[in-house]
Amino acid sequence: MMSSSAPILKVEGLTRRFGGLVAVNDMGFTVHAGEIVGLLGPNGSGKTTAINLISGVLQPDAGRVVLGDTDIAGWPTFKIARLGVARTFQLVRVLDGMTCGDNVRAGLAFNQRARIESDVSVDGLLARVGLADHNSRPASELTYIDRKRLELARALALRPSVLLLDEWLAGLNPSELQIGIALIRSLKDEGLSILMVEHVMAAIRSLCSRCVVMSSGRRIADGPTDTVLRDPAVIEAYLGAPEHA
Amino acid sequence: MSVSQLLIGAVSLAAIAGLAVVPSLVDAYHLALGITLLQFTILATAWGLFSGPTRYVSLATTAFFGVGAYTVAVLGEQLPWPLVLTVAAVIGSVTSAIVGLSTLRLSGVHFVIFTFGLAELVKQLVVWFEVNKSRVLGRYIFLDITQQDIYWQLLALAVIVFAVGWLIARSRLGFALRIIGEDETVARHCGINVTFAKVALFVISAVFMTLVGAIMAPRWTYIEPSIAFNATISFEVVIMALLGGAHRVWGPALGAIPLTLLFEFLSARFPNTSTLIMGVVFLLIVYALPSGVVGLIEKIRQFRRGSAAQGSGT
Repeated sequence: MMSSSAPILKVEGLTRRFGGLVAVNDMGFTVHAGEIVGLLGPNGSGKTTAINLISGVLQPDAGRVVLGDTDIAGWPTFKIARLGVARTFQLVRVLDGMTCGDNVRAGLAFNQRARIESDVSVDGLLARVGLADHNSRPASELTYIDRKRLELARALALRPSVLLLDEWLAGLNPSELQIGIALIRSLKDEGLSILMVEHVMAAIRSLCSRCVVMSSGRRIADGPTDTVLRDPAVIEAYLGAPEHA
Repeated sequence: MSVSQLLIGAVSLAAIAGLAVVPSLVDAYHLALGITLLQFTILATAWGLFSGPTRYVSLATTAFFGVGAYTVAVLGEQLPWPLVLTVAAVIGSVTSAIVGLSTLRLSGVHFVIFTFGLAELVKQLVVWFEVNKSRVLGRYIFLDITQQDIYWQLLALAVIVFAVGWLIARSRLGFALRIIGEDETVARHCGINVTFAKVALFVISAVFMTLVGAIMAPRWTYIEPSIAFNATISFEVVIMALLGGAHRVWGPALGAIPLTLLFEFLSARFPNTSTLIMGVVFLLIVYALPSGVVGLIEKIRQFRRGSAAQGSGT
């Protein structure tokens, strides 16, 4: 079921080669307003490369990345970030030499859209992810899940129109996972559009309305989550092992 | 403004006034020492402006210093002095902008090697130009500028470099550079134009180095490329800034002053072995004070605060 509105993010024919290896091959998918799309696939299938192409860390060899009505393919990362693409990283990246407040301020300070929104504040964003009263605390003191929260708060500070989560839920214990899922769902409920690379099936089932599956750089499935997860091609891509018997 | 800020301001003004009357109180030897102290204080502080937050180790100090000195050697007698300094600053900023744009994409050791090579490249260009075009080996600088004039100009420049450093540290540019120093990838994803921020700071830092070279030039009366582009200066400045601690504006000065005095003492007392002793001193510094004097001060403060908190707790 596709939303009838124009997509927030539309990727078309996205291709990137590393020498002889085509890491991302003619990829295409869309993310509509207020929806969470899962980007799945076995290790090495090109998910993180796709995220890096969308956020400008890597330059595509071909293809379009349309945000709203602007083709941002090949733009420098900082311009893409200013236009409203925020992300978190597979290996959590927090500014360890700074306080939690300064980590969030880093997301606020260089972005016109964020700065003119008077209701966006450092304390508000910290509270939003469950880190209230952490403003002056050194980021290096945080636990693993709190580092993930802080990274998310920094991404939210950009007032993103689309949020890219690269395995944000990986490495959390079962109770933390429930907290994390609830947090991401609350972002969706506020209308945020999210593209998430994820392996945690429970999270994918409960959060993603649609999933795009990659294998060897290509898109092999795209549709409602339940349908996609039953797709024989998808099951085969995960080495013939269904996620549960 | 808080009381402590007013106090710091008053002490700074008093210190500047005190330093300004030094030339009329001391003999020629101590005036020369004062000039050397100011020279290295400015160079190390300017180095720290860029390298402190970004953690890029630049060995290009002598390239810009030499460009400044040579601008004076060529134009010193043709233009009024303020204009000579302005031209030097412009040449220094253009050179550093070109260098910055072409090298700041390099990371780590590649940047270090490139900046070291740059100084040699500029030196060889000057040599080539002098030998083939102007057909002179060295140049004489006969300007009506006294040692006292040099001292006062350097003192003014030192005040400016601290003021600029203080302002940058409080600006959005300074915040951007701290984020870049922490994690360049995150900086980009926060919407920071990393290249612009780094080049801007590199240029600001280089302009101060160029001006030091220009102001110092009349001291030599005779100048040739091996004097103006002396690689030792680049290394000394790095050691001084690291000893002081480059992550605070006033940090490099805390390294520049004691080390300049030490070099002076060693080269007077042990003229033949001073280089060897300096090498040992550098090794000891790196082992004993990895984050510099500033790091040591901050550690002591933290320790005191910690023990004070414990004391009040029991």
